Amino acid sequence: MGNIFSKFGRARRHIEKIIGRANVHCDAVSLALNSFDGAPARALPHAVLDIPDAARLQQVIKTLYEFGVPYVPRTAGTNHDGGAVPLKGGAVLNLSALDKITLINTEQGWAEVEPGVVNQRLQDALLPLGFFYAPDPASMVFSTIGGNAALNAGGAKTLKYGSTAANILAAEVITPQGEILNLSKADNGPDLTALLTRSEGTLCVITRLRVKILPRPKNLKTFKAYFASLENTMNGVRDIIAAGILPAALEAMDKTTMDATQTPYPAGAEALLIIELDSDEKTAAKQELEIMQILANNKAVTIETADDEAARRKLWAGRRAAASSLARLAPNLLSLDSAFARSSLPESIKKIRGIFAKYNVRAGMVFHAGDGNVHPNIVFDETNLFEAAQVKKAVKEIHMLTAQAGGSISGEHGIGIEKRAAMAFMFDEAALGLMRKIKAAFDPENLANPDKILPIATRGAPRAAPQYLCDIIERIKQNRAAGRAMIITGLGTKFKTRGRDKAALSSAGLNQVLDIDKVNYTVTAQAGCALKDIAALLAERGMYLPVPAARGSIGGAFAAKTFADFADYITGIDFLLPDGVFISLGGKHVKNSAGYDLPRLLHGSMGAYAFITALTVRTFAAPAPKAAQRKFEFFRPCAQAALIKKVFDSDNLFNPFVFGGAQ
Amino acid sequence: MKINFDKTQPFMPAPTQGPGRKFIYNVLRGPLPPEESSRLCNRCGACAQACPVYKIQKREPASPRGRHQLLRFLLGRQFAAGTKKADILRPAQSCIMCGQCTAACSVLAPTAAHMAWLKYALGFCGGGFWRGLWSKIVYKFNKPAYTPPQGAQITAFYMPAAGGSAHYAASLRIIGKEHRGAEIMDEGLLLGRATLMQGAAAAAKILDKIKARYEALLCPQPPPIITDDIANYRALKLSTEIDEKYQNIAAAARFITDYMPPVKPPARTGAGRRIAVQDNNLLFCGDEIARRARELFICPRADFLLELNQSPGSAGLLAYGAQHADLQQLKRAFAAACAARRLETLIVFSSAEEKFFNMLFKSYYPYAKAVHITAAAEYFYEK
Ligand SMILES: Cc1cc2nc3c(=O)[nH]c(=O)nc-3n(C[C@H](O)[C@H](O)[C@H](O)COP(=O)(O)OP(=O)(O)OC[C@H]3O[C@@H](n4cnc5c(N)ncnc54)[C@H](O)[C@@H]3O)c2cc1C
Ligand code: SF4
Ligand code: SF4
Repeated sequence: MGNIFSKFGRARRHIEKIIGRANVHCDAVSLALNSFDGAPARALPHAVLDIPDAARLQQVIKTLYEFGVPYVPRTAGTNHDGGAVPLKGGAVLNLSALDKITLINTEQGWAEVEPGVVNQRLQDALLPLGFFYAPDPASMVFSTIGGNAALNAGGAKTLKYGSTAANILAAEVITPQGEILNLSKADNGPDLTALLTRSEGTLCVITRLRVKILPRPKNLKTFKAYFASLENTMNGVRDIIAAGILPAALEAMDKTTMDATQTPYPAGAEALLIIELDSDEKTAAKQELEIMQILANNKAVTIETADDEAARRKLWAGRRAAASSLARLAPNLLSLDSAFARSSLPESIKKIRGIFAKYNVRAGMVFHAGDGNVHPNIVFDETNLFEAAQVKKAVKEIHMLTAQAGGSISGEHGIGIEKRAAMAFMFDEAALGLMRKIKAAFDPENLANPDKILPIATRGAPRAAPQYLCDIIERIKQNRAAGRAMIITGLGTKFKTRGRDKAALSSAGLNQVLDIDKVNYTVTAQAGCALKDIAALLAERGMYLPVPAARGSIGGAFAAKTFADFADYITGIDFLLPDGVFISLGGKHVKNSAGYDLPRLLHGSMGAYAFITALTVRTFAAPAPKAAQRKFEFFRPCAQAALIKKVFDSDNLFNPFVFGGAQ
Repeated sequence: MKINFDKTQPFMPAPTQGPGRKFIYNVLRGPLPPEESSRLCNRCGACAQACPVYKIQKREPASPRGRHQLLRFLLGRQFAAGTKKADILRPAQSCIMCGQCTAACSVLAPTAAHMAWLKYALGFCGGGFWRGLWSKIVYKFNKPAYTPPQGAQITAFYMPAAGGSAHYAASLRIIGKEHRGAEIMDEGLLLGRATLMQGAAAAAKILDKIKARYEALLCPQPPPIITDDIANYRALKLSTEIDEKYQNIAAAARFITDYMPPVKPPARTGAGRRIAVQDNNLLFCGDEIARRARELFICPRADFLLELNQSPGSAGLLAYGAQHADLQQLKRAFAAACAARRLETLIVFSSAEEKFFNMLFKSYYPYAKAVHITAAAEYFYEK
């Protein structure tokens, strides 16, 4: 017992033995200089530990666990949400020295890196090999891949290549108890890789990542168009997507930001859009014409294009400098990252501007327009208390607005401390409860990056289950009351219900396609819809699923992990817990860094965690390339999967055989 | 070394004193940088990967951001009793003052200058006579970025126009990456924040030229150097702090508001006259300046200016906003004021507006000449 100070005092001797006395810093200056990251929040740690290598990191974490000292992993400390601020004190684990690129395998398309590798360094290493690593946050020159993974960072290329989570294939992590886990996305069973790596250090510390690398596109074409209004810009974006073009980047910014970057622009321009195509030559030529047409239709004031590297760099210069240019306007910069469904973007932007005006805060907006991610970058001075208070109010309102519009309060920066309270706007008690229980299961002592992500209070009413689920919920409740286990199946292509004492719970009745949205390019379907049927419906509209139309239902394909990367395309998911509680997560927004990655966790969970009732999936304008269909196998649950099973289904009622109940 | 700045200058700091002097603060005898300068940093971390020391040590106290924050905490008196001087000095001592961080920083935080300051302030007193003497010697030989280049190991003495045009930003990037500072020198330079480049010695020829240009400014009575760019202004003033030699230049530096007619703005009227926040394009401007400017300016949209000026650290006074009638009027007022005083003035702009100004001056103010900052050096050179 005792306070953290004395706890660390006892642990110190042991830690000094492990990493050496010179790597343990307790002086006031070291502590003060590790009390902040890129966000306004500050809190002093009790010690700063420079970790020399991963092996010793494990021992350090074990020791900290033994003595009950909380800790916060930290790499470059550039995040915008206070994630690396030691709110509870304890130890800061400085992982910047874990900066080796251990292996690059161009044949199989992956690289293995330690968490402290700066994103740009990997890019530089890949360049001569003709490869690149897709996630490209604007901070790529100085943020690390470990930090990117922990926050699911995104960037300009996210629209096409997915955010960091979609580009991580495998990871080695250390649990709060000091155990090393090797996780892989392709493993059978629930996707723990995403859950753990994306947890902002609250469930584990990442020590090694295997990331996807891709051949560099040869054919890059960049457009820069100025518009007389933001609305025209957004309409342009909408039309480009609706035309089935998927650019490598679709970036926009408003006038305030353009002014701040001090790059010249034509008179009357109110917004700017950068489009970058990286498709092959033939397609690009066709798309180029289409884009020019669309830009003209939406009254672009000026259009510039660039083919070669120098010209491209010039076009990008303003965009890359956007955040830092705004920083020049005032001492503090607060960057939000609300993600909306593309269709609601223009409306939401208008409202956000309204909020700025209402509170009289100064802000420039930058958008990853293609994926609906808005960065209202607010500049202010924290020493001006009035102004700081106004900013706080404005931020809160923007978060509320985002949640109401069905978006995500964080598209790529994560939650940390700054957006913690706003989590309650976005998730209801059921979803937050689930996340809290997961945290408690993995880290019962609350030592790993404590007091982050999950809000203390919950607001708002629980999400009501849709009408069509009433029956099923009733059945689940009855079964539960009777203590009867349930066998969840889709269309029965994988396995059939067996066992007399078990109730069947099939999604076969849930076979409606709920929504096909060509603006956002998503489809929402009930879990029991056959993939083939959905594909057929979509094909009529020139849309395609991201995965081949295999046999069976969409819910089944997802729960059984038929395709290794199916989860990367899921934007929303509804499911029922064994006690009949309905949870709905996500929506039509492409990007999401808020909270634990429950949708990915359910990918491959084989119905043992929850009964998936509906999915929202991104669609594309071209048929999916032939993906390898994985062999259907039951997975051998690991201890961590079992922990989560207890969270979701402590009585082992859903598909009990998966976790050791007799089939 | 005496404290060589004028206390009446709005920008210059008072030496640290006041409450808390029992602790670490009572060894701070030298001048410290102004609080405003220590608040430049927004903690983005972009500088860390540019810092050669951080890249080896990989610890926050060895990063430019850490060093910058150290100063901020110190000025904010956030260190407790018992904080060791040696601990505070360590980040400063590990800084090799290469200036790379400033080049990478969006707000051009002058970390090297800060550290020189800190070393001076901490090293000068305390620790007895020998220690003091030693610090003096160390300080003498460890001069930061503002020392004119000598010998072959220094490539360029680069004083870019701060506040950054695209060209400037691009130049800095090139410098940061490839150490070609000297090549850029030829195109645009001077009167800004100093960034010292070390590395290859290829550019000796240009070095001489730069040196000559800079030396030209060191005459006993340089012409008033007026800038509408707060960063330039700050840099000019700061240079005195580092080396007495530049006193004349620092004394000659003026912010443009110094030339404004002293008229109090009328009371604020009606809320409806606000210009939407989104529409302003602003020039970064320090709070002291903003405060002064508020007293000095007359403007038909005084409420608008007040709005802006109420947030310290930002003011839209002489922004690049040629499209705003209000701002144009301000500039005209400025020109008129200059005319009234019959000043022989050189006006330096970091924005490309010299044409606009010269046009104005023709009718209002024949004695002044407006030049773009890149041409300013030439102007001095010719004189
Ligand atoms: C100018 C600027 C522009 C930016 N642009 C973008 C952008 O375009 N897109 C974007 O997504 N973000 C952006 N960011 C935010 C930030 O750079 C990213 O969030 C980045 O991923 C943070 O990485 P980091 O290395 O600094 O991590 P840190 O800040 O050190 O850590 C981030 C979080 O991860 C945890 N963590 C760190 N290492 C580990 C580990 N090994 N294991 C477990 N947990 C760990 C920390 O505890 C913390 O909670 C920007 C930031 C700045 C300053
Ligand atoms: S780059 Fe500049 S603003 Fe950013 S952390 Fe470094 S000193 Fe501060
Ligand atoms: S001047 Fe050089 S050594 Fe000092 S902080 Fe800046 S980059 Fe690092």
